[in-house]
Amino acid sequence: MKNFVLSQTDYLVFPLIAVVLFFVFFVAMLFWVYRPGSKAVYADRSQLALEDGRAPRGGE
Amino acid sequence: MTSDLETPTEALSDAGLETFAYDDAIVRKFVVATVFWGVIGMLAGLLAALQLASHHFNLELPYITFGRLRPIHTNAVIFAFVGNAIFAGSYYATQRLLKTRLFSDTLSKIHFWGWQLIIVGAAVTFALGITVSKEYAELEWPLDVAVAVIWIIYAINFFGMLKTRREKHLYVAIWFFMASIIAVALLHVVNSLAVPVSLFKSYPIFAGVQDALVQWWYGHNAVAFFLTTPFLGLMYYYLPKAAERPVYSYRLSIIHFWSLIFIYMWAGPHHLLYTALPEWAQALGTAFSIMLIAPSWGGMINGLLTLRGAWDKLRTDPVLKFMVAAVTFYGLSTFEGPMMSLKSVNSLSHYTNWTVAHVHGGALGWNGFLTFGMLYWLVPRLWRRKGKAPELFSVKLANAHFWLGLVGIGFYVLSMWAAGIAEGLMWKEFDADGRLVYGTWSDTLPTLFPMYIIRAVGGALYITGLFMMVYNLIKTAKGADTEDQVAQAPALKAEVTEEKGHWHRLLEGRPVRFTIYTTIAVAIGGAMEIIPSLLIESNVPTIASVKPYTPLELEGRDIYIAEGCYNCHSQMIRPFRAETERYGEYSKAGEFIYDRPFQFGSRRIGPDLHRVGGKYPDMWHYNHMLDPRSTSEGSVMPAYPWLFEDELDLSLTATKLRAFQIFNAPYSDDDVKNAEANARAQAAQIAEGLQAQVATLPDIRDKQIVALIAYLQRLGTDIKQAEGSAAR
Repeated sequence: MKNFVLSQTDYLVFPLIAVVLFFVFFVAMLFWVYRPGSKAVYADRSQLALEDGRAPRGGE
Repeated sequence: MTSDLETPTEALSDAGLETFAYDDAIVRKFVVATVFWGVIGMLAGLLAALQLASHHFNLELPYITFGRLRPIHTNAVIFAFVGNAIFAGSYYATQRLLKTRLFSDTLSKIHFWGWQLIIVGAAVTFALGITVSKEYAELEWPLDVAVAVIWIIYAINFFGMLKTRREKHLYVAIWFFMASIIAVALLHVVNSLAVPVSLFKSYPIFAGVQDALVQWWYGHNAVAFFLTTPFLGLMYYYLPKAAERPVYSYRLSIIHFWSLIFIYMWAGPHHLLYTALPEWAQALGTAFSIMLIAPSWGGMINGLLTLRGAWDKLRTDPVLKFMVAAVTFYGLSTFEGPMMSLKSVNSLSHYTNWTVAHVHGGALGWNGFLTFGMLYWLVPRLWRRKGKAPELFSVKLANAHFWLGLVGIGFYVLSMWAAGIAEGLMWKEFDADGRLVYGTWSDTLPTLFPMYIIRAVGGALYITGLFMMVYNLIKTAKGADTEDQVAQAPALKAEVTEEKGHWHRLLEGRPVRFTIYTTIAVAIGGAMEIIPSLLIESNVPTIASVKPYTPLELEGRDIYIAEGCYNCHSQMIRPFRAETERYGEYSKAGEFIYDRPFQFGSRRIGPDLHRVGGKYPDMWHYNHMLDPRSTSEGSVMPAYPWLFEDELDLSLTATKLRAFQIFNAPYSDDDVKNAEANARAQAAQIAEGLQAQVATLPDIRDKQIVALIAYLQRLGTDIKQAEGSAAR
């Protein structure tokens, strides 16, 4: 019986689960990155690449 | 400005300022290795290109014949050139982003020398024909183990920096590096699972269609997590550095990251469209491949717009030229890829030079150019002149390199697009009577040769540029100072109190959780595809007449693998009239259950071989392998004279059968015990049959060629025994 079902099903359920999973994930992520106050946080973070390695004194 | 922002002035006033030195010595080592292997890998590619333009370039030398040279080329450019560039770039960037020295100098050294030894081991084993034959995972098991060990050392050394870091927040580039390290480990281990029969030979635990799915899940994601995500990490660090402005949108980079690592893992099956892979997996692969356009282009736009207000620098700065071109190529490749995943486009593009054009657009344009840009930026900083600002020896020469490289890519990609579409159309063309217009394989070749020559010219231009870079970088480094850069930063306070409600900071600030989330996002796609595919075992329609290979055929198959025949010949006839007309009945999943590893192939430089069994007499194969042009006029195939001289080694045959017995092959214990004798008997039969026709032929019963003939004559014949009854 199990084998029969497996051989008949088109496995369409897997792509479906996959798309739903990603959609939920994606929407949640959008809400998260656009949360209030995130702009300042991200402006700060994006400076990390530029300030690093610059020794406070001496160096460079 | 938020309160938790640590500005340099605040840091200065902090009493707990720590002084430390970055480990730049190891970065320099990786930079040198990047350049060195880049030269070797690309020269190997050029030789391979010439071999396709004329078979004479094979030189009748087994070690550099196309089937063995191609894996040397692909592995050298991917794992040696790009790999070392990742290590150099990520070690330099991460130390600075986290304001800490590399975790362990000893681990760094083991990492460096271990990786270089693996590369040398790879080159030697491939030249000797020791290969698993799974593309970009050709290494045999001892080297696979070594790769895993070195990768773990890289991981410890990298993640260790998170512990000693002096910067609370992890910049997005580090996310990309972390995800790459995790995903590559996962991919490498699953795809390399095998049962060894000797030090130099193993059989994968998956067979046929399942092996194909696992391999292309790996193969696609090697492109994703070795050639793409680490380079995005490099892009997010070095592009802002070179442009001297922050990334266009940090928010977009987060969306880019999570979408990309989530979606990428699902797209692998697009390498197997129209094959015997179940329909649902093909649909899944296509859908997620199309979805990949969005995050990829988000990343490209983010990279390009980082130059906002600084576009004028593009005119003078070769570093930015290379990087902007690289990001553009990233955009082009990530658009072309999903298009090629559409089934209708794929039916034309698959197995053709179009694929070759696509990967080289990505490899030469995205990986090559980003690496060159990074090197032109890094080398003057790693090899400094005392009291002077970092300066490249010749900006002019670097600009010339850029244009030469760009023209080279143009020649390469355009010629291969033309060749790919032309050959795809020729394979499918019927005349008014319903016969194939290009019924003989060599009919299609005269159209391709000019394209192959243009491609080789393009590659040569690209390599000329590379040599200019080598000269430029050596001149830059000569006489420079190589002290480790010293920096100062306050120590990270042990407990950072999190503001309530800012749970995102938990995510970004705490590497452990971040690692877990990343692992889940990455693993989900693989699990959803591979676990159901293991159910296929009961789902593959069994074909009663499909039997395991005889001992001699099995040995012949291993010679087929060793010589890298799969680099030019597929064993997967797709269900199109043009293909069934040319090759015979299309391939069924049930026919491959004893194929370890699978040999579907990904490129038809020569015709498909799945139904070649019984198509020609043994004598044809004998002559064809000795001199392909004697049976197929105008053929591009190399000759294999050494197969007629090298002894057939049957010492492992019984062990091999035993291994297959453990898997699923219904060999009896007697079959295992008599493996060698049975192989000898079949070999004698073939050899005597040939001598009966031409008495002057040498006896080949104990030469390798006899096993190869036995295998080729078996290919795809089982289904014919069934005469349509059990087969479907």
